[in-house]
Amino acid sequence: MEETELARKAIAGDENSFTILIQSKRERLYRMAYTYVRNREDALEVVQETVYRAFLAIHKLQQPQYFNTWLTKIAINSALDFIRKSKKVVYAEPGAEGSYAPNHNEEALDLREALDSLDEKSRTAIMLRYFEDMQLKDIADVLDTPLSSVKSIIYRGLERLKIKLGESESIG
Amino acid sequence: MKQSYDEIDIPDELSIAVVKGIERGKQQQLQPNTRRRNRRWIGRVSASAAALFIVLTIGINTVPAFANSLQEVPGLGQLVKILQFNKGSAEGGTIQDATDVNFITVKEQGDKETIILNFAQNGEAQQVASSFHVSFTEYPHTMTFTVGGARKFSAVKDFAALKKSARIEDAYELITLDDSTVRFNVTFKEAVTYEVHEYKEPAQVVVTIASDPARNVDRPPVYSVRTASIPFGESVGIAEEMLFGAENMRALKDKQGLYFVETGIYDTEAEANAQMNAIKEQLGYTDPLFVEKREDRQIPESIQTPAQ
Repeated sequence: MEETELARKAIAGDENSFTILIQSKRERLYRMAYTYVRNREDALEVVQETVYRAFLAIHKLQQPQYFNTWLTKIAINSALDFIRKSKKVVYAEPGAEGSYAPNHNEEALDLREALDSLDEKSRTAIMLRYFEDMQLKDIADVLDTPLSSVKSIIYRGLERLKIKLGESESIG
Repeated sequence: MKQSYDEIDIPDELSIAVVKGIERGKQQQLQPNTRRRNRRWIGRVSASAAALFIVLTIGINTVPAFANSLQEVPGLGQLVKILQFNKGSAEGGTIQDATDVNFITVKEQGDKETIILNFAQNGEAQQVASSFHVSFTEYPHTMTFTVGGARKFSAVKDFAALKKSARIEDAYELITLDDSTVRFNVTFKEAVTYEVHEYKEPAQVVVTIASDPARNVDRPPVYSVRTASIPFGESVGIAEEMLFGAENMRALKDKQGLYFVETGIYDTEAEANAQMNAIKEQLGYTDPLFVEKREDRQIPESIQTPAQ
């Protein structure tokens, strides 16, 4: 079944459609969550929270075609709330971070470090644009920010990332 | 960079996390005290037990990892403990107050059946179960459940659903002369084996019962020492207070839907008579007591106080 159709049914209260739809998005939700919290258990918890919030609020979604944008917004808010609540802020000491995921390869470390250096909004915007391939206007919706600002947020973010990644390459 | 993002390992538990999220959402919706924001959803609450089952079915069919973890499902939260029974009774939970035993669901899983108790406080699902006591007795096969610190018993409405179960004969609330205790009995049609698990976050007590063919043979009758039948009300509680001290006391419902207090069951009529006289003497109980012969699995008779 088409996603919009499923979303329409889910909004009308069909739990089956909601379940199918949300299960089809679970890996995406997990990756986004992981980008913020950086470890498996917490990411799973964020996903659970996201699904919980989405389940309770789905009837308020007015247009089924915005399901994805709407869900992304909930996922990001859940992740940010989780970080705020658990105070496990990941910016601590750069050295301490390694303990979160000791098995990570170098490239993943680069990604983490690079993304960490960005502020919340740029990080979210870049993740959505380049990892999730979202349209700029949808990102604008998710972030509640005008389209023009989204463009400059991403541009600025990319500039900083280039510098960061460049540095780590020259070191490594 | 995009590649390392795509390479983030997807754990097996992911689909379970999703199911848990949905279940938590449902729990929240099931809370009777939540604001009725949307009638459309409230209408669905009645169908939610069925819907829960649908979710499980979908989960099993679409997500292989989910099937393996089925045992996790009735307890959505974390397992606190598996109750150890001593002479048919066990206790669990943590002392709390102002609890509402807000709903009970019953689910059949193959040859087993689970009865799930849920707790709420101020309209929100409670995180840790209230202190509770559960005991299993015979003649007839009865489970007595006592929840402390409970001010409300919304789950009374769920007894109708419980009675539909093939193994359950009856489910009824007991009068308790303590406004912070909720008690109820579940009568089984046959001998059952039982297991009780306590969960937290959210709080649930899950009773799993199964038929026990080995014990389902006709056993000899017993002789019960009991009061006359009394309508549901304070008098039942008063009789219990007065007979307090009798070791195997329990309150039961009879064939007519009236209630009585039983102080014990004995193998022979002579022993029952002796015990009855002992109780009258020791406890100074002046109202009439009776000895009732009761067959295995039989619902107690209704006994009227003879006209004075």
